[in-house]
Amino acid sequence: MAAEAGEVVGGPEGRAGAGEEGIYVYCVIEINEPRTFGRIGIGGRGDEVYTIHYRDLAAVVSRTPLMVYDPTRENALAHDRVNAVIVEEHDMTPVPMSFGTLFKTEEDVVEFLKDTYDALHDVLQKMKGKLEFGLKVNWNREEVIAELEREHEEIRRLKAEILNNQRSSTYFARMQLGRMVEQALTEKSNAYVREIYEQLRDSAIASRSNKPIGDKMIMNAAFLVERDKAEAFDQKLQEIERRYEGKLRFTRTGPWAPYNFVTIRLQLERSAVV
Amino acid sequence: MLFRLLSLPVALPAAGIRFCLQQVLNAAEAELMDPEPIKEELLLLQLKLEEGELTEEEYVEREAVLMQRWREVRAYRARRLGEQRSAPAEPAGAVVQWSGEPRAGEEQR
Repeated sequence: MAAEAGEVVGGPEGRAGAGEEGIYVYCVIEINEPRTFGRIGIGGRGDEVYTIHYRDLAAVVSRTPLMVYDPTRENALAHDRVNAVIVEEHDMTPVPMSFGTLFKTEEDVVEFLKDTYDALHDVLQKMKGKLEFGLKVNWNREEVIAELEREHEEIRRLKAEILNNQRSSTYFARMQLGRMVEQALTEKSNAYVREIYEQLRDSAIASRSNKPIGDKMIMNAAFLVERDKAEAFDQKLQEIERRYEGKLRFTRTGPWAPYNFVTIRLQLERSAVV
Repeated sequence: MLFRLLSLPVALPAAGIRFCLQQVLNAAEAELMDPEPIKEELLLLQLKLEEGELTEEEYVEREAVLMQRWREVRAYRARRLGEQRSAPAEPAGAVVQWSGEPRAGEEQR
């Protein structure tokens, strides 16, 4: 079975009691010597972030109260921060863990690395030297609709007819107008998105399309880029931004660990609970 | 005689009504206990904060409400699965998936 977000994983010692400590895992990296990454552990206690090793891999962890972490912004930022520090300050590409992964003991973490060694090692090789960049594209819906009403003949005509009371039923005419406008909006946003992907195709290795959030957003994507091509990619984005100035607004984020391109699903065996 | 007559057909429609009611209850429960809308609301809230439409305090307040719902959903799902999620489970490896192969522009969701 797969673990759900906020899963506590541990050995057969029994139920976690109040006040017990566990180990929060942020990511896995390829490294031979132990390292620490500062007192930036999740939970607001200033816990030190350190490594637990198995062969040439290490889990990046910190001690934490044994609990299920809510996916609040504060907690998510703490999780991201550790991954970001590794990417930016240590020039490494970590395999990020899902938010909220806790183990009971260090031995359990080693066990996890041991069981998953081949898969982790494999993905780390694939990920080496690759970073993720996020791109969100927004438009101003009202402005686009105004533009459509000017340019789109059928829409302009129908709107005029409604205003001049030329239609026998304004209710149905308005419904029709609404549908036409929605259709035109979808076509226009799809065209923009296709164009942008096309322009970035040669600068990125892969891309992933996520669901846009809210009604101003038309594109919410993640791009996988080679570390030494990151600057060229950023410049390409700036170029695109200039091209669509006044029509579209771009929000660039990153570099991140490749969250959108790798998933680790823990396999668990439920021990019998009394 | 009347009693006997009543006892026979009453079983069938009542069972049917009970079944329908249970279906409605299941659907309502499934809808309330779906984590997806909560995740979406959370993302929307974070976006509003980023865009400056909310203050930090307003954000934290609304996030707290969502977290309460989140916990309820989590507890509900744990009960439905008949397991105690707070109990540790033994790690038995993991599945690692990599989707970073060159396939630019592909819709993933």
